[in-house]
Amino acid sequence: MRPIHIDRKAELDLFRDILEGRRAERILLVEAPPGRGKTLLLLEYQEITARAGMPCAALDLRLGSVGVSDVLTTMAEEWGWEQFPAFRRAVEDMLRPTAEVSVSGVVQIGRPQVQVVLGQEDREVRRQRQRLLTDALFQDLRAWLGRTGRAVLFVDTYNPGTVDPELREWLEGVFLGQVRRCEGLIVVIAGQQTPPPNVIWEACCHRLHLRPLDDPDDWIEWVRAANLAVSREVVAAFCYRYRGEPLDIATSLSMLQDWGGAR
Amino acid sequence: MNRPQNGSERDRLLAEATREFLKRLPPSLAEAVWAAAVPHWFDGEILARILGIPEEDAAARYARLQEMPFVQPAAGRGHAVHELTRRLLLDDLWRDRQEAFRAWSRRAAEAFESRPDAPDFLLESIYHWLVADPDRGADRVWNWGAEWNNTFQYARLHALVQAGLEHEEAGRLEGRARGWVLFRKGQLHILYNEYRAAKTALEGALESASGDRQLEANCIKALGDVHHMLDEYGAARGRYEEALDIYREIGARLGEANCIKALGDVHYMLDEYGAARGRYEEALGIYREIGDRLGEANCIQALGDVHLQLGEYGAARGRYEEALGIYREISDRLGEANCIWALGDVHLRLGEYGAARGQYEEALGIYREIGARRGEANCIWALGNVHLRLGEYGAARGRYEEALGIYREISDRLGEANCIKALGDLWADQEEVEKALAFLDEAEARFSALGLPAYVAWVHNSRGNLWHRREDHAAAVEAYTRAIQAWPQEGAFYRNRADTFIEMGDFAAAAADLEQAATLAPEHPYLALRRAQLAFYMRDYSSALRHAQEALVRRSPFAPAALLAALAHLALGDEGEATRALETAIQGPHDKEDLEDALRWLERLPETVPPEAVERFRERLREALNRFRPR
Repeated sequence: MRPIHIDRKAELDLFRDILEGRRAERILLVEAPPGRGKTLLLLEYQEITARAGMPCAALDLRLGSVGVSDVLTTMAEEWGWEQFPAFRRAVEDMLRPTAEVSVSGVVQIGRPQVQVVLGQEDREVRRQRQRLLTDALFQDLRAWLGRTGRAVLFVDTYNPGTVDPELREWLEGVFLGQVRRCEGLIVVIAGQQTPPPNVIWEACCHRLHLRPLDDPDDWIEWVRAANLAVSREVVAAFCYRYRGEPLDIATSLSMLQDWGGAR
Repeated sequence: MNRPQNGSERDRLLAEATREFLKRLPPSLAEAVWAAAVPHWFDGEILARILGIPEEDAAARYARLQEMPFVQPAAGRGHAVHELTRRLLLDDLWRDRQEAFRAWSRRAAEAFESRPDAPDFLLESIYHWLVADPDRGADRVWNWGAEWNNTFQYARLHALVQAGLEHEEAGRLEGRARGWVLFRKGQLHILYNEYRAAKTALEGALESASGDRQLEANCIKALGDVHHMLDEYGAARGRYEEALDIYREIGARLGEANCIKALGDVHYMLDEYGAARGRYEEALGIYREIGDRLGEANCIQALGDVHLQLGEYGAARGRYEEALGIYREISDRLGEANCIWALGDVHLRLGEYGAARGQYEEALGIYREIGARRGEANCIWALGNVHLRLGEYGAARGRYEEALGIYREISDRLGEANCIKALGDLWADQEEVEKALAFLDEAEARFSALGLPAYVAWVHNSRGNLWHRREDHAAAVEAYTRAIQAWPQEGAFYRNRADTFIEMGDFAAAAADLEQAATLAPEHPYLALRRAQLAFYMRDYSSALRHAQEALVRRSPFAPAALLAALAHLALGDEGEATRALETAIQGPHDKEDLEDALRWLERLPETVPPEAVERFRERLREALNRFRPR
């Protein structure tokens, strides 16, 4: 894949600063219209995280069904269920048919079990369980990150119009509220419209609006990598015509490449 | 290929650029781009399946696709065509090569179906079936939608709807495939209390039912549920009856039972308890026949509610205990807690306040254990009612405020408003008029903001009760009249205004109100009581006794009717029977207001009653009333 965000140096530096603790914010909200390069920027962030040797987990809300249980279990699966004893215990407790029966050691806790305990008919019961499981998971996270340092969670395609409303409510309230209190955890959320300001976690959040790439200099390295023999003036014309929208500019510039087809 | 896509200038420019780009590709690679746009994500294997080519060929094309600017990695699943480019490509493909679209969708559906254990693959497969084979797609939306709805996997249901809507909004769905997608959308809106949006979706679904009688019935039943939630009971009843006929026609027994139960609920809400009972019993028979234990328990509990409303407390208790057994058997903790709470209500009505408190506390423990915050708040509110009945105003206020805090926390604005109204009633009971009116005003504003005229009407009714108790009859009549204007279908407001008219001596107006109340709820025990009261004030003691006895047939025990019957006996010269009736009333469940009313009625006894008998009755009533001293 040819990176469209090649000259997004400021955005990459911002993330490095957050990752290395030079900035106090730990919630990074990346907002931009489609085709501006959010997903590619997140992929770049993931590479930076991996190069720094830090654990990370990623979710794309566009693909398939993602609910609260998926976010919780993705972190546990990616970072190891053994790091989450309180979370597993909380799931076990909720699986008990009555207060007298224990399922400890009888049932292996995994994604299906979390799904079952959060699959409740009553909305308030679901909310309460979501809160309890989130509390337990963050209790474990704080202990784990106290030993290992930092970890990053990436959430892509956060578009309020299509995201499950319960996931949205939980993520914007309970989840990000917990992130604020969890020193080592960094969360990056990208979407066409990111969560609105919230008094609980706004102070530790940075909002990044991806700008259009309308300066031809933004594209010089990309053009060179694509082996395109085009002048700066031509690139400038494309930037003007497509108003700096990276997907559109890259698509039209790619026409000039030899793909082995008709001209 | 010159049509601007989706209206926007940007779409038009990108579509043009993409089309030009495709023209510069070798045909086999261009075909791979079109095919890759069909699924939400792809890899070499999926591309091979969709194009129907060997995997080695697909791998080479997959590698070239990854060089393209609109193809990006998809977390752990290969790659995806960028959503914007994909939308534009699919618009063109649907318009110009619909057969290819359907053929590739079929292969995609089969490819993704090969991993039914992975929900995302299953969803992707359903998404493709909707276009490849709309009937098969519709069946899958029906079946999997039911599975995820019944197991409360709402994130999956949401994803299913989103997948279907992508096709629907692009104009690629019609007939029952469109209908089932819109039906599931409507279900989600109901789940999130978005009733107007639910109505629109369900009406759209109904238009697309295309002879699918199950879908038709489901939509009509769901529209009935929407009307029910909006308190539009007449419309709800019409929808349920319509759906019921279809379920019967197609032999869908569960749908039939659900409709009959829902009709029972409508009757219940309209105070038509006899009709409600009939429906619940009918539904119960079907649930038992098809072995639906939850439906059975719900019906039995509903029958308990009917008995409770009719004052048949023993029968209510029996039903609740029966339902409780089933809920415990099927490990439905919420149902269990609801039944225990209802048993608390039975004790409360019987004046067994200690037992009521015990039941409410037991239910509260379960609600807290399972995290049912609304149930928890409801129980605390009910405990407040126990304190109120015992005249423990401080404790009652504490409970109401505690419940109010929880309602606020869970953003239950209706619960909040109900608590504020309860606090208003509590201050009214303590004759703190200013405080009472402030709370009632606040409750009215909240109910109005929620668009709930029936609840607003009950606030007016509370004000009426306050003024009635303070013997400001003009203000009481005005308040009850406003209640009637806000919600004319409620018989209680006419009965209460009649009560005030009786006290004012305006017997003609009272009789007219009771006539009106009779058209709304002819069997209500309070109707017979007010008729008895009117006759008593008009010195027709035989009629008063007859109506009081009729009230006691409709609800027993029923302290105010028993007290009025006692006074009627006294007026008719039967002191022995009067004393027996008085003792029965006082030994049985009653509240402060019943005794206060009786003391007022006592002043209306004819002069023929020996003064010492009147005094004896007065003393006995005051003695009973002392138990309700404010604490």
